[in-house]
Amino acid sequence: MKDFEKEIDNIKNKINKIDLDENFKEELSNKLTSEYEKEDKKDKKKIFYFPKQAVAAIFCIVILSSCVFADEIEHFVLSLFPSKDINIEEILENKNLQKIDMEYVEKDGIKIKMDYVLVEKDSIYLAFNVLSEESMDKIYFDKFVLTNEKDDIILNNSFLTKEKYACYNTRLDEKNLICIYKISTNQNTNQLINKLKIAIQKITLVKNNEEKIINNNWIFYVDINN
Amino acid sequence: MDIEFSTKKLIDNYSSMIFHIALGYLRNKEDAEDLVQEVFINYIKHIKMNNKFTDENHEKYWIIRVTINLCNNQLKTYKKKDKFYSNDETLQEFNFNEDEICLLDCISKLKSKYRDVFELFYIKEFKISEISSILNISESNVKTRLKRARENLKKLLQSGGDNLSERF
Repeated sequence: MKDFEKEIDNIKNKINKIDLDENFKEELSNKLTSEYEKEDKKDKKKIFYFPKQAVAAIFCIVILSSCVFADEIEHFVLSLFPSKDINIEEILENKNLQKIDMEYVEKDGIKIKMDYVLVEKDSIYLAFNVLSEESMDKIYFDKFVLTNEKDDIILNNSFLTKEKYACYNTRLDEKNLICIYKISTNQNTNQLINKLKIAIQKITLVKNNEEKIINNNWIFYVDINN
Repeated sequence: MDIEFSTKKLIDNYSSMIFHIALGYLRNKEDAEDLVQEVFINYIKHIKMNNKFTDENHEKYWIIRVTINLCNNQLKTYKKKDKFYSNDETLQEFNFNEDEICLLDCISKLKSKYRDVFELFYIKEFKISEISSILNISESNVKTRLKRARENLKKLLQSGGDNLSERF
């Protein structure tokens, strides 16, 4: 056993006498330095890679949010870039609107009342509050007639081209909308109207791009403060 | 820390140890040198993957473990290429006598689990407790493997008809 251990000892000593060349160590050092640098570059690439993923994730969130909150975003964008036709919100904020205090008029499960009115020289602003039994995205009054206290027809929107009026919906909740109309007229409307009769005869409810038309007769009487 | 300094420290601390372990396994100087480089590249990748060593022993044992694994992998390719038994040039170059070469041949025929323990205990002179840490096995398991390695080595030497077996 001692001889065996002696043999092993000899082998061990001979192996341990064999050493690495200094040239090899030098080359190895260079090789490992470049390997370190290569790995460092990979790390840096990883650092740059992360924001790309983050940007992709943010992009996806924005797209999804755009789909989910499309109405709110549309509203927001429109408020940022108001067009000539739908500058109503700004006007409602800045002008001296007449607040109307009235009860809802209910027909076929659709309750409508007027919240605000403003009669100017060449235009009329009407803000309707619409409450429906079913949820809705938008509402249009396809046919409504305005008459004054003398039953003179101030306007009948059936005969108006779209350039003459603008409709703007603001959703308060699923079943409650504010529908604002700006109607351009070619006459001195403020001199013609002391009392206003509004008769809405046909409305269209829009839900998920499906339209539901309701024909009835919602009538409102409003005293105009000139 | 400066890269060149880290590299130099790494080479100074471990290159000889890795080289000698690899030489014991592979019996070929060039292959052992290549293996030193491979171990260090593994080490750099390991560090760059945010793996940290708790102390020097942890680092050293990890390096030895990687060295042994790479050596065993290399031996498998030798067997496939039938290269191993032509690797005695290094041994002759460094004045190993016939008995020593015969003994090394028999060690190389041991199963890797016995050979690993044998190499670490006899050639690199690690303690039982250190081998246990390096190979992640219990100390009693190290002792058992060492005993079986000696028994198998004796059988191999006897079957080879070598006079070394009489001294064993």
